Amino acid sequence: MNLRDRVPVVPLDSERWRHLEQRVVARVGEALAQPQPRRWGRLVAVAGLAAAAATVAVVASQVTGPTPRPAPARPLSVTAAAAGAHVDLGDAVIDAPPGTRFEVTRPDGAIRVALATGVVSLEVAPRGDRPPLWVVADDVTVRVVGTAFTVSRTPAVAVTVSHGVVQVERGGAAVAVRAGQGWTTDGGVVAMVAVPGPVPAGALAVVTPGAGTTGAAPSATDGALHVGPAIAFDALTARHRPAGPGEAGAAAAASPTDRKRPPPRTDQPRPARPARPPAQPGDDLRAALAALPVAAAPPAPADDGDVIGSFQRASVTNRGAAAAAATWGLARAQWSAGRSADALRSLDGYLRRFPSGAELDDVLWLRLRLRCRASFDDACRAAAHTFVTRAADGPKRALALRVTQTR
Amino acid sequence: MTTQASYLEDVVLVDRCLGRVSGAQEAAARDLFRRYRGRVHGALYRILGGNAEMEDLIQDTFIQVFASLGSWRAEASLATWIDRIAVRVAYRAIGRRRTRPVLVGTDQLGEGTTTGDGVTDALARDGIRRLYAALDRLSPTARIAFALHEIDGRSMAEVAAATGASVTATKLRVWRARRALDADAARDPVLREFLTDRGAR
Repeated sequence: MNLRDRVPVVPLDSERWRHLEQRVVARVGEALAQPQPRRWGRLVAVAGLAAAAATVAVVASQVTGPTPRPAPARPLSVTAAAAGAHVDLGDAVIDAPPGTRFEVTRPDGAIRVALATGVVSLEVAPRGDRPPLWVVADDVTVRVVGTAFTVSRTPAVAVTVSHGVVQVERGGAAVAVRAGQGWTTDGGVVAMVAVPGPVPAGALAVVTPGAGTTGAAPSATDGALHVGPAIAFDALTARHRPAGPGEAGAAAAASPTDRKRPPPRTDQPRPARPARPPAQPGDDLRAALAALPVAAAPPAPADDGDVIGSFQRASVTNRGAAAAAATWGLARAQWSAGRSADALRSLDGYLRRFPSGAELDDVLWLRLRLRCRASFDDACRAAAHTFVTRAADGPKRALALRVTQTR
Repeated sequence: MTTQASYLEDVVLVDRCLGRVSGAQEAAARDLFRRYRGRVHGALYRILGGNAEMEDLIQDTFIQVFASLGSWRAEASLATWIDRIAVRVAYRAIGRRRTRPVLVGTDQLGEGTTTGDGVTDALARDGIRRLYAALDRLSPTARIAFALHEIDGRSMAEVAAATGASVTATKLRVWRARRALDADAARDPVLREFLTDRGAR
């Protein structure tokens, strides 16, 4: 039975549509200003009903005792699979690499993330008047104001802050950790500096405070930076380790005490160094970003001379992997044509539509390049943070980590 | 039209509505409304069977769309996401009509049915009235699934996505609705005439 033609839709006349449009548009501002529904709504409603039922039961039996507390929402237990985990809580987003286990609960409207093992990276909107967000790892509690940061427990607990500020509490003491700083259970607050030159994947150099002190920042007096021994700090595994050969050389260049050591003897005469223009802050990082290439676009779907148009059509008409490849091709072609704003929109579209697409790393890298082309601002650091949390390990990821530490 | 709408255009449109990219929000909201008003109207009309209270229902749908636009994660198409909201609005309207029936005149049920042949038109209008009278006796879920699949011509998968049910459950609902309509048609020659191919014009 096909009734489609036999039950025609009677159109509304243009005047009715015009009035309706005015009515809708007049209320758009009010509608958009409403708080966005959270995925927790149903859980909170269930918890509310349970609490109401408990209250009714207590009143009905006239049992005296402490006021029953509202039942907590059902906890959300997450074990990150091979592709990692991505949890959107509405006003906070949690990313975790494979193997990470954590649990999210909403006590009294707050968000509590209990990290059992692994690494969680969070981007949290400013809390304002909203209930707080905590990350608990072992006996360490991280209280969030509004920031992007990473907590790892492997099993030592470490906190790295990309931007914003968090408050780390342990053993009754609390310390604020700000952007560009980290915190570890054995080292307290540490300031992180980027390693000049190539660095191994996922590694950052850490300037540690003197032995037995915590919370101290490196001090600069008489023009020299006095630092402790150079060690590498893997932000993903939260482990300090001795610096590797390349890193040691880099650290030596930064350390005046190490500079006093005699240079290694060589038989070859040392070539004269060309004079360099004074370096600008971030120049080396920009050069490093530019040195790592953007992946090539896939072949254009049609050979009609309109590469961008053919990618655009293919991204809409295809499904799955073909659509993902076409969307990446579209962004790449727009970037090549100098249409950076369009490319960024296409890249953001790709991330929404194909969060696990085959071109994800290429998309994230081009997005990072575009966001950071003018300056290392918040948008740039956010793109770098997204790259760190979602892209595969490698030199690009190590660079992205350095970008997250820029001030 | 809207079913072939560019996904990327939708993403940009939503971002404009939410103020994520430059461009007046009001203009973006107007664009989104114009882009999807026909689809929403079609779905509501096919489910409810007429334009009674239609403007209020369309308005409710779009206000809900804008109120929760920030939660659209672009995993489903925007059209499907809006369909779900329209179906929820229709569901509530069906519930309201059961407790507070809406007076539907001849100008609202089958009002667009015209062939130039007065007798045929009258039969078609009568058939539509009887069809929706029979649908009124179904459960809202079966009615919505039947209307979207059999009357609006959507696939089972599309109906399942719009109603938030599985394809299997959707097939079951449509089958139950067909069975109930067949039983009604066995007792009602006008409805039987309308539902069979002989009633097709």
